[in-house]
Amino acid sequence: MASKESGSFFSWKIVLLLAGIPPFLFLMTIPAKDWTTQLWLGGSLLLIALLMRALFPGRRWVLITMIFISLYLTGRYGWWRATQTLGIGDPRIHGYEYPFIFLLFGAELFSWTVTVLGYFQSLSPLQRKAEPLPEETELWPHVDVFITTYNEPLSIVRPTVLGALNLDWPPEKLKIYLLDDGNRPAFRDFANAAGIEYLARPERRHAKAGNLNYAFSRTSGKYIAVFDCDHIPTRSFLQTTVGILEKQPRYSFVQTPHHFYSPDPYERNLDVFHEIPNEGSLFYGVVQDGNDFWDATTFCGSCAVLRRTSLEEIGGIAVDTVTEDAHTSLRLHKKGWQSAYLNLPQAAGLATTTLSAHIRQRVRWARGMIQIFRIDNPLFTPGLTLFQRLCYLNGMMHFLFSLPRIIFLLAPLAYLYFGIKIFDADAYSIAAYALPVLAVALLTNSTIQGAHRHSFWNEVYETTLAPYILLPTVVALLNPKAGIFNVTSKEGVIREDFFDTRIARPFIVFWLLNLGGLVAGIYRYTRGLGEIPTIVLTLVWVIHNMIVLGATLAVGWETTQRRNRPRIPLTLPARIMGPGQKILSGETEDVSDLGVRLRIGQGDSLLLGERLLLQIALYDTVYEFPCEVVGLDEFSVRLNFLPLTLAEERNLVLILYGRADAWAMIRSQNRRDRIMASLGQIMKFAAFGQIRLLRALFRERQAQ
Amino acid sequence: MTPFRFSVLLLLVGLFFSNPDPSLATPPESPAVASPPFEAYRQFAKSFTFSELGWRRAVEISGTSMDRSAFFGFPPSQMVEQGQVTVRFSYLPRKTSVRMPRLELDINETSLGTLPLPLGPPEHPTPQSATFRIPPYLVTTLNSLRIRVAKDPNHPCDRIYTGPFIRIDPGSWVSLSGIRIHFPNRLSDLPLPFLYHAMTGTRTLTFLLGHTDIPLLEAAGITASWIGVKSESTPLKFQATAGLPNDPGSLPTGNLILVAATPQLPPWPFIPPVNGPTLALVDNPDDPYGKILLILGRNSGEVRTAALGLSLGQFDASGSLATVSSIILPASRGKNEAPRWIDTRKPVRLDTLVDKDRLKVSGTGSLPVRFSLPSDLFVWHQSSFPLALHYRYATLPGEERSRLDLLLNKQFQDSIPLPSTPPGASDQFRSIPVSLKDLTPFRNVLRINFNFQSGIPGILSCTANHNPRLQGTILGNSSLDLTAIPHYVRLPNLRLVPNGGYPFTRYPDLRGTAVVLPESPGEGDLRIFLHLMAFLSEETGSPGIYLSVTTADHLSAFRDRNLILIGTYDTNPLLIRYGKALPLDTPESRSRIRLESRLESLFRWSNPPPHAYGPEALAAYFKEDRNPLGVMEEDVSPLAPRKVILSLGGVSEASLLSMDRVLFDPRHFSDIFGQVSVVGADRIHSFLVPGDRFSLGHLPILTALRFWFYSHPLGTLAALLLLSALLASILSGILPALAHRRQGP
Repeated sequence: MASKESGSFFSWKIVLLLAGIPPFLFLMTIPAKDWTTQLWLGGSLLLIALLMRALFPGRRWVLITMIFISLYLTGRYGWWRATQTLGIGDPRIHGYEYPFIFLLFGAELFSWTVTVLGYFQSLSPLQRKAEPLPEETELWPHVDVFITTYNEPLSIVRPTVLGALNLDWPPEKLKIYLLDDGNRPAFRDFANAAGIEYLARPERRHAKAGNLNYAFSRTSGKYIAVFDCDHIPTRSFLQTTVGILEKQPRYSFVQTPHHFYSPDPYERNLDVFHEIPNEGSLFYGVVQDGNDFWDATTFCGSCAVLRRTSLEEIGGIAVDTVTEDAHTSLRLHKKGWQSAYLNLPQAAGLATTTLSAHIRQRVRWARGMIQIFRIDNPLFTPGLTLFQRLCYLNGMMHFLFSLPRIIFLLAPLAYLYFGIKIFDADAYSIAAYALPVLAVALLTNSTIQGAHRHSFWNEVYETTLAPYILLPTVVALLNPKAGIFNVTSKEGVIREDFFDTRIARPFIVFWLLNLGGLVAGIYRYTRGLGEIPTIVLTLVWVIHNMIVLGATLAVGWETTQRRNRPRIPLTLPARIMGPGQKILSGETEDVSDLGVRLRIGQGDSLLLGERLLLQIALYDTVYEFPCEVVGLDEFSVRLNFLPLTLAEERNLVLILYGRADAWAMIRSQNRRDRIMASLGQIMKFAAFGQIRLLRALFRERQAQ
Repeated sequence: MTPFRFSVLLLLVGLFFSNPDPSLATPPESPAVASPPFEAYRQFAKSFTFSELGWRRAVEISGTSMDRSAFFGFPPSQMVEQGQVTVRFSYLPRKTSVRMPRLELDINETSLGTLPLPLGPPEHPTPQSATFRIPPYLVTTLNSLRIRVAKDPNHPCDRIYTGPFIRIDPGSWVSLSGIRIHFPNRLSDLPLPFLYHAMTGTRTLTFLLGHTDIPLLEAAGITASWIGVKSESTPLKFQATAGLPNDPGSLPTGNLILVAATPQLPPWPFIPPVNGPTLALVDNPDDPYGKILLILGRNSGEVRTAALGLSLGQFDASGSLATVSSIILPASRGKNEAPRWIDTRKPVRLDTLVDKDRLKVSGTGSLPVRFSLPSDLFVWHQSSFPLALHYRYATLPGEERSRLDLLLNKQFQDSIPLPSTPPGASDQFRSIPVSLKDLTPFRNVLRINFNFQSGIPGILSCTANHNPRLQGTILGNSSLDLTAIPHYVRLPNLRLVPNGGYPFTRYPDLRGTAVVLPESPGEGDLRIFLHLMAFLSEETGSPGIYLSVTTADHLSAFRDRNLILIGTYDTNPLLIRYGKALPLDTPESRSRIRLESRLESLFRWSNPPPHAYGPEALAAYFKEDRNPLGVMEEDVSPLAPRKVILSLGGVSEASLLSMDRVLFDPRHFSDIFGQVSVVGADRIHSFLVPGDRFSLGHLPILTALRFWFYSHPLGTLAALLLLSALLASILSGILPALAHRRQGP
């Protein structure tokens, strides 16, 4: 009865919702009398959006109204662009100008589509909670943990394996497998010593997907937890995730975020670790939660638990593309399996160290997603709901950003260099239509993404990747079978600051071209070559491009990464016992694989090189580690671990990476977005990047 | 041509042939009136400059230019005895030594000669002039003067300079003189001698009114509208005096129209007996070559009947005198059913707009199709209307470059290739979208140009003047289809007054219009009144037989009509009562112009006018201490719903006389728009003043909605916000429920 009632409740609301769409679209097509009227309308809507956001922060209806305002302005701009500014039938437009006009229009069309799909995707992040498991552990299911590795050093894999051993799960129901595609004896020995299973394939077809499938056919647990070799799980990983699958028999997998405890290249090179959200934060903080609402969570290849029966139904992990994970989830969804995303970091790993490594990784993702787009196009492939199709579509379309991004970087130059019209409209109208669209979209996205992606950074991220992603995506679009797989390198030490000119070369070219555009624009302005408003508009555009490119250049300046292992800020009660039974109490400041810094009162009683026993208390247990003093100052002491036994190492992993709340707090520390502050920050980096570039170029010439 | 006539021609040419002396190049003064009283009237002399013949500005001619023509006409009552044309021109500086083309001057296809070669070096040629005698026997009632590029007969195949090489001054002139012929007085000749539509120059119509009572004024107005119907865009000028002199010798010379009832008539000998409504044509006692049209009656009502008889053609035209016995008023015309307007209820065939013979060309040529639209067509944000073009042509075999070009009001529409066709007539059909943007509210010209390529190699084509095998015909069943365009206007809108006389001509017989004149109208009032009546009827082609004239005191009977107020603030009190009392000089009148408040400009209740034409600009205009002749404004009538009041207020009676000249000059028509037009001595400034508006006609619901939202940005904003809030609240309700459902029980 109740469900019937709620059904009718839904239906009339949905009818009303659908009935509201035609008038909404109708209003988009109302032409503006002139540009001042359009500016008034757009400005009023922007003002209203600002007011609503200020007066009722955090309300869902405010956000949705803002989304509607943004959709309206975007649609209105799009309608106007499509009907009035393409120069069709306008005798003032030369034939050779049409390709430029249509390229720019196509790029804008793409960005509007992605914006709209993005709103839809993140309309209502689900923010799912963990589900409890039965009281009696006998009822808990059998779980296999797969840790995949191929060529990574053992030092990276060890903590992951130890972290898996630390998982709070009945040992008889937990089997840990190290899937070594590198077939290395050291790994086999380590597995034996740690007491886990070791699996190595005779061949290496289909890379990671093949590796997983090989293990899949040789194991039998009800669930499979999958970790990349550098993703160290917390002890609570299985307890938080398996409950969801136990409760929902049609759920195929639970994905958790990939958390990185080391800075990504942007954070490191710009020195903004923990100041701005991590590059992946948007995906795991907003997009996946939004996907989950539409039952379209993407499997990300690691930090997830899968149901064996569901994988059996689709013949194991998909092997046709280089992003086997996303493809697998698509296939599961096609078969009617559901999915869950638990936005609770239950594992952590290393971010890519260098920009080039980052780019390589994203190129692979982009290629893979485009391959799926070709092989299993989400719009047409059977078995998906409309909403799942849209979510997947956006996930894949996103990676086509490179061509539009490059068009935006170069479009104003066509006018400034050659006087080629790139739209058939006066500059006032373009500004009056486009600026409110941009401003409201910025505001709305800042509201949606706030803590997960600061304003304008998107452009920096996309610009960094654009020149590198273009070719692979185009090739994948044309022929999804072409190309090779490469593994993302995670560990690296940068011993000296250097400007990666190889990586930065395209940005230097773009930057110089835009600099030329700036000069050409000023020349045009002073000589009156062209309409002044158009020149000013394109100049502003060029300056914007130079800011984004400048910030990208700043990222290309690889800064020193001195520490081999990142230190993790961690405050736990600790004490040290020296040979003379002197006991000093304090608390840890940060901990890494190699050592620890203690905040301690009477550090002056210690000596450099002195060997001590360090005790760290975590909950009701005290863990002991042999240490050596390597640094001293007034308030703190720096200790390095002496060689640890496997058990001690496992305890260290537990303290460092295994706490259930290890990563939850760090994420909430991210500052919320402030649009103007973010702009200021980007401009600061742009100035920094451009000055450094000029210096580097100058030095190079001097060297010659 | 007989040898004798040839020799006479040679003699004449020898006597009068051009003398390219610049010192002679000034227009001749009119010859002084000779002393014998009547003999002086027998002679006439006229001259008109090319600009009066329609060349508004200097014309540059290049080697590839088409022929340039000017037309001038004479009434049959005048016989030309001497004529000459003086062309003022200057060669353009040029750097090339390529042979320059020659320019030939023709009258009625007969060559008068060639323009002389340039004086001075090619880099700095000096202005010069050349005079050509026009043989009088070549002058007919309608004449074409043509300037064309001609080949050198001795070197027809030389390459000629194709760029512009000469500039013809519009101050070039034609002067003609001759004698007037006395015609018998025949009513059947009407509108001769008052109008002869081929005649060049402004026609002056002089009205003599016996009195200024209302039926008599209506009679004069109906007569003026009859002239408007007959005039077919002849420039007109009206003169009018009320009250008649006792001495017939003090009447003006020329052609006169006398509108009077017998009690007002002095005992003039030439007045025929009046036994009812009477029409008569008599000689002007002061000018035997002038005529007086008598519109008479025993009382003013009969005079009005006589005028109706004249305008409806219901009189016996066999003699010089007719008594109008009874009038049968035709059924009233419906909305927009003016004879000269296109009926947009069905597609319009081109042969109803243009004579069939004028839809043909031989060789490359242009076919203009002129048409007038109802002023209330609503073309906002629509793109095009279809032109169904049926045509036939013959071109040379193997010649594929010929084209048919279409222009609407000089704006390019489409170009159709004319590939070579097999022999024999074959009808072609094309439906062409014509841009509505290029349509003007009233007068339009669709130009169909056949552009034939001769296909003969250059060396041969230079010897062949034209090829008779190149033919193009637009078939009469071609049609313009404006049926999809709704009739809808927002009023008041002065732009529609010079463009069709809307809304007064909405009923073309002026059924819905009343003119309010001062108690005793002066010459200025009468001039504007008569001119306006003629203008409105000229636009519609229908006489204003239901015209009503009234005064401020007797307005009540005409409350439900569109009103036209004429006068000054002193003579016509309604101008103050219903108008805006411009120019602004009192706080009270200032309040009548609704200056846009800050709130209004901030919230844009409706689209504000462009700043340069807004109410502030109007206020500023008067603050600058300008001295206008008068003000024309249109306001919503407070007396009846959906009616307007058009005020034509002069600063003084004298300024009304000049206002008439400026207001009806077609060159100023495009300056008239909005709600207030300030008429200055030589130009008109118009302003868009916020105020009440109403609409006439209907729009399809979607268009009406779009137009409303377009006109009311605040409405768009409000509707959007309401809709967004509604959708957002629905979604905010659905989403948590959906989320709950997603997570399961």
